[in-house]
This record gives sequence, C-alpha cells and structure tokens, in this order.
Amino acid sequence: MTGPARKPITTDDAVIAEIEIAASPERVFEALTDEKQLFTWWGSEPSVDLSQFTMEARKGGRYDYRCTPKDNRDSGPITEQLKQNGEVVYHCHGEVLEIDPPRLLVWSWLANWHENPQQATVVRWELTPTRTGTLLRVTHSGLADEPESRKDYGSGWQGVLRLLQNFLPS
Amino acid sequence: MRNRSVTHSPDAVFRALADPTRRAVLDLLRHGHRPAGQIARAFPVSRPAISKHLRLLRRARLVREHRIGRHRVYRLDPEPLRSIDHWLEHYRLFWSTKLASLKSFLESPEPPVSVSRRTHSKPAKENP
Repeated sequence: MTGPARKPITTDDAVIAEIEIAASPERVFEALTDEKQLFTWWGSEPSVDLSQFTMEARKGGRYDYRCTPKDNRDSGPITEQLKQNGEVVYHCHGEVLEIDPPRLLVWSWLANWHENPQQATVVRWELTPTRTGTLLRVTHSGLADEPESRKDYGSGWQGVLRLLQNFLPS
Repeated sequence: MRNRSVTHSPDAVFRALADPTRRAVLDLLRHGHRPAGQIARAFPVSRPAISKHLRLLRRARLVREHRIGRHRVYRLDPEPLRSIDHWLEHYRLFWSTKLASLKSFLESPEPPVSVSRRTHSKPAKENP
C-alpha cells in the first residue's frame, strides 16, 4: 500500500489531527524517522520525561518509547498496569508497517495504558507538500476496538464521533 | 476506562448511540427539552417505537424524564458521553500536542534542545 497522501481516510474509529509545517516533506519525514530527532521533539512535552525512543526506520523495523509522568497524578484504574519496577511508566511500541518517504509512514501502536495492551492500533502519518511546506496528517485508528465493550458497535461509531463533536466543542 | 464509570455502563451508552433514530433524538434535544409527543412527531416512526427509543436513552442516562402536568418532558444529559469521550479525548489532545511539538521543532531556527546552535543555515541534520 503506497497510496498517495491525499487518499481520504474512511475509518470510523479514528482520531485524526493535522498541522501545517513550514518545512519540506523530506525534512518532516526525517523528523519522524530519525530516532535522535524523535527523542528531541517527542520528549518536549512538559508533563512527562521521555527516557528513550528507539526507531528502526525500515519496513518491519521496531520502535519503542518510554516516559514517566513528572507529577504523581493518579492514572486511575490502570495505575497497576503501568508500573514497571514500582514506578509508573508509559510504554509504547510497535512496528513500522509501511514506509514510503517522504509521503507515508505507518506504525502499529501498542500501549501499556490501553485496556488491552496487546491490542494493536494503527498510527498513519501522511505528508502532503503544500506551497509553504507540508501538511501533516496523523490518523490513529483501531481505537474503537480497544475497550472490549465497544466491539459490537462499530456501525454506531461514526455517529458517536459526530455526536461527541457536537456536544463537546473543544 | 470502563471501570471508571460507576454510574453508567458504557455498554448501555454505546447500545443507545448505535441507532440513528436515537442519535437524531439526542440531536433534537440538544436544542432544549421536548415533550414526548413533540419528539414523536419529529420522526416518521410509531409512537411506541419512539417510546422504546426514549426508554433505552433513559436507561443509558443520556436523557432524563420529567413530568410537567400530564406531559412527560425529556432533556438531554451529556454526562455519559463525556465519560466515553474521555478515551478519545486523551488521544485528540495527545496528537495535537505531538504535532505542535514537531512543528515548533522543525520551524524553530534554534531547536529547544541541549544542542543549541546559533545558526540559521540549513535546518537539516541539526541534531546529534
């Protein structure tokens, strides 16, 4: 699958986010695949400390990152699940499913904060050149499969998302 | 995530939301409370069918019923949606934060890293 970046997303259970970046697709792609650069920007969030980010940027390669929360806020019912050696660690890993520089990058995404940490979700990065740089779209799909209770309601999911958008304006 | 909601079951909420008529009922109630009769007239389905939809919505706690005189009046309660939305909201926030971080990393002439280089030349290969 090496479809063009403008291929429309039709998944019902995805979170989609987009941003315009004043840098070439090649440059953006590099920041998404070079583990040192990933470590730098991925870890710039103030609420967590990123301790590692490894990335084998080839099809079938693995990536892995871990971070720890800076404050000790309660992580809810999954706190125990997050603990590694007694410390809360957010751990996420997966495989490079597709890589087509500088247009497309797809990761599987398994996270220990999911109800089922073995259930893979999919993160798809699509880069489209624009006049001023790159339109970057990230689509995280498979999320509706995550909590067991939602499996049977696939057909309702799109409607749910629409409703939520209406009810919960950001 | 589902353990968190003790007052309402996500199953019931999702079952309620899986039906397009029930979603349309909720949409209608977004504009304010409505008596049952008025809700029924807004849809091309039988009165008993609407009653059943309203019952399921009530069970999922997405609507509340009040009596005003001899009328049953329904209003929306978005709270169960919030608990369900928590899961997706986490990722909406997560990805928009990540994209913003990447943007500032790539657009900043001086990446906010230990490797600070006072150069405005080629942005590529800035990092160790």
